[in-house]
Amino acid sequence: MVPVGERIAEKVFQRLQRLAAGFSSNTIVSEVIRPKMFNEETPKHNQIVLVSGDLEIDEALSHPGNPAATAWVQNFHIHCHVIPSEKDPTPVETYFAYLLADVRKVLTAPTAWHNWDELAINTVFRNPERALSTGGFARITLPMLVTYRTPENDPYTVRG
Amino acid sequence: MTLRDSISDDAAGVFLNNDEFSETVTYYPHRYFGDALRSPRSIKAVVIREEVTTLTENGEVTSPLFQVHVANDDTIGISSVELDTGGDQISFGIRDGEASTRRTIVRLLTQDSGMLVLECR
Repeated sequence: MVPVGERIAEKVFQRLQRLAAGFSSNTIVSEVIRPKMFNEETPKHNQIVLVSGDLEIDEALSHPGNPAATAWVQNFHIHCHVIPSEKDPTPVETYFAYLLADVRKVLTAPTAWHNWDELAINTVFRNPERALSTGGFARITLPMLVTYRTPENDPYTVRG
Repeated sequence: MTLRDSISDDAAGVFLNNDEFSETVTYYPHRYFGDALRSPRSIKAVVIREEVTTLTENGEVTSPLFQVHVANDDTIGISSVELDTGGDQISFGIRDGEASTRRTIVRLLTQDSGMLVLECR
């Protein structure tokens, strides 16, 4: 069995991987990865890195019962790396614009995209965050919050 | 022989000597749209394998950091003119003795007429 939060992460990852399979003609994503403890992947142009960030309890959406239901908010960070050629005259912001647009488009493609095949209650995007370009490559991050519920005593089961 | 020539000679003959501290790596030039194809080539480099560092400000993503010293030369090393930090890669083992993997050149740290010092991640 897989915890509900990880099942949602896997579905986010699967949808993002469609970008590396030609989903959009605007952006050719080189790869989509989830980092490991000792991350051996090297930065690449139009690379997407999916990270499961902070997990918080939403008291307002939790409710008592036997067992009680706990509402969780998983904060996903979708990092988009851009390393254009030194000869490329395209502004970095242009690459960011296309990447952000295509990431949102592929994630919201299914009709009921926000519930991740009925694993979650809701999904919202937050403001994109641009990182300082001091590491030799540029990065913009799209935060995405996914709210889901599980029984208080069973993180492996979805609770409506 | 001028000092500049001596520096260039020493780069190849002294610092980039596989019997000392250098090793053979493979340079993969990036091909920008419309440019002529450039083939990968074996070059000598001094690879300094630094500790793992963070790739993001909040430390979520880590990546090994390498400092690679190569001759400033388009045959035995990488010339400063041909270098493209937007896609060029070098292949070497992450750890000494490991199989080679391609690492992206993300920055040119320092340069002179004899050598380039590159940051790879």
